[in-house]
Amino acid sequence: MQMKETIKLLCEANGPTGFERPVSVIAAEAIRPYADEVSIDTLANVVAVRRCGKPGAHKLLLAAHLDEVGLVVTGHEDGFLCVGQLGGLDPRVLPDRDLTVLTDPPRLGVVSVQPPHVLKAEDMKKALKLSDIRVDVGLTQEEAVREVPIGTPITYRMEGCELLNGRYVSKALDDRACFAILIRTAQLIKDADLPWDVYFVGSTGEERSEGGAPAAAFETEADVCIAVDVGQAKTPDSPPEVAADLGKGPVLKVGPNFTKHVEKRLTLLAGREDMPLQRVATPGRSGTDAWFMQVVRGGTASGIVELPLRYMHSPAECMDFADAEMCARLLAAYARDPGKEALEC
Amino acid sequence: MLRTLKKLCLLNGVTGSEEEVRGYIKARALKYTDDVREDRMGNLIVVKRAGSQLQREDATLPKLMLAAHMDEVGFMISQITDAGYLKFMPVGGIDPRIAFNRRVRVGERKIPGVTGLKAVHQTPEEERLDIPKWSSMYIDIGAKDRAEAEKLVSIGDAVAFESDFAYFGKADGYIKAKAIDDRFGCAVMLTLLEKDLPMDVTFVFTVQEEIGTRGALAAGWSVAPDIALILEGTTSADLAGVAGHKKVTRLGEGPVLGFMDAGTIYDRGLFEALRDLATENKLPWQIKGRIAGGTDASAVQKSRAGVRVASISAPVRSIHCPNSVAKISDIKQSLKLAELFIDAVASGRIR
Repeated sequence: MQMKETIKLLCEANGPTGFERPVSVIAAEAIRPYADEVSIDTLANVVAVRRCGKPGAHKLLLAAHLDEVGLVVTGHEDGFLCVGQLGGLDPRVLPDRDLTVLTDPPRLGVVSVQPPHVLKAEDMKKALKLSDIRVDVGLTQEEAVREVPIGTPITYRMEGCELLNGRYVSKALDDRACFAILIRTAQLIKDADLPWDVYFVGSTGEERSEGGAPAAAFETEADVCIAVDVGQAKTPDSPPEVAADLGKGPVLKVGPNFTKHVEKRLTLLAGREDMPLQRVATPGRSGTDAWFMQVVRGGTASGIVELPLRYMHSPAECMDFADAEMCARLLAAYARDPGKEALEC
Repeated sequence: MLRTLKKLCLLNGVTGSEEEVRGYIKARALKYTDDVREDRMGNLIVVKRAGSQLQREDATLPKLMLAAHMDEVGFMISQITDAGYLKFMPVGGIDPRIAFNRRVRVGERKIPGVTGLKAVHQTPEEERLDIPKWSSMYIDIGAKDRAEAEKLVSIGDAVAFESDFAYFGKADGYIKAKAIDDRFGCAVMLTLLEKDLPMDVTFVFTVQEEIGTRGALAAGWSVAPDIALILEGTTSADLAGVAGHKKVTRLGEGPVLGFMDAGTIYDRGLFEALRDLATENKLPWQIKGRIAGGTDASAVQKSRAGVRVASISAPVRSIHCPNSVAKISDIKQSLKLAELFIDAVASGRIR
């Protein structure tokens, strides 16, 4: 499968944070042709491994998270649903938004928006808070309470769409586009002679908590852990400190969460592969799975490779296929040739 | 009729660029009558003659016109930035609170795009309470720079929302789509055109309703009807927590009969006739709980020496939004009532 198709398949599946298992099943099947073993663990992490065949070899773990931001039903009012959030989203994207309410079978919901004449003039300039959001599912109060119970998760409902220049808009590109990058990486190294075992992890729970990635790092006893996640790309309204751009290559999120020898090697390999690289200074918390994987067991070497992304956590996130291909090539180069320090750490 | 409505809602016809909708309706109408003309403004005027010769020659009947508007709200490209983003302005009344992260189609070439808003991570909590001004919003088509964008997009291009047509709620429950206002009215008229009618009826598919009922003004003058029935989508605030008197109209409580809105005081006799026809035929009906909004009736009523006007509207939640919501029962009952109205004019009950 082409990466484009893999991204569409993964992103249009529904699995908000804490409810990823259906996505894990799809992700596990998608990576299976390129792995020696694939399993789904207690926390619904997908763990696929490509073994090098050398006894006692070191282990590289590449993690991309499978969960997405979403909502959860917290109550009912006049047949409409009250909601809380799963992960962080801007409530301003919600009025009049179509959603998928994950009952069995899933159903359509539309966030209701009060027309101007029932509002005061000043209210029109104010955004709705999450506590004001109500979802229309076309049911009476009694039906809604019975058929859409409290705790039912909800996701954005957005079919993928290609823009100019290989740019692509979809929900859940954060971070399933990066799991597609891992699948592509696995394709690229399928027949390579590897110096270590390479684990591909589709992690869970990233948007809400430490999530599944550290558990996967623990159970695999990985030596080097790289989080492959999306990174902020600039837009006309973004603050000046957002400098990364679409189409300009992978982003290294450098700082204390990025082990120096891993960073240096990736930079060297990007040069060898003749690809552009972007760097983002990250003096503290990286906001990725790497933050938690670095301190697992006795500590791991870690790194963060990011796919630039516009409109993160919105229903219409935007990426560039060329960046994704470069990320996969960079990770494949590192898997094949990580340098002495990584193999001895 | 729902299939027709679906087809119509998926077409793009932002005010001033109604070509696609008009083309579709024209092709459909030509299957049922030869008398189809397009006026210089872009209104489509379709005359369907009565089924029988006797009725065709009855000169005592008033001239009856039905009207619905083809245009929908949307955006217009106002500027292209150096970085290749498109700036835009609203066409018709759009609530800016619904404008973010929307899929859109730009211009006749339907270039796909998305309206942007910086990520939540870059937006301080207090800023999330503010709605950006139209002038700071933008559309991303993936262009690398101004030169590339300018090859595909021009200032003044119309921008339509991209939104599917879907059913939800219980069976025969609700639909959601863009442009239900007023493809609902167009779908009712196309369905009536297929039927054998008891009198000559002129169906007018108007342009430019959303910026001031302008097409209807011209059409009212050229058609010169005695009686005009306007078919519209109308506001509903039938939402959680909204007090009864503020709901305006309610989904599922039947066609909304116009007696008065911000643009028109409707002909009292016609209003009462619609009300009585509904009651006699066990159709639910309602009136707007608030004097607001307007229809093409305001223009038609004042054309020439004056026209008696009536309206039947379907209540619509999130009107003028990409995900407007309507109830199937209201739509079907509106069609039925429009048919009864034509029968009542043809039989001489309404004079």
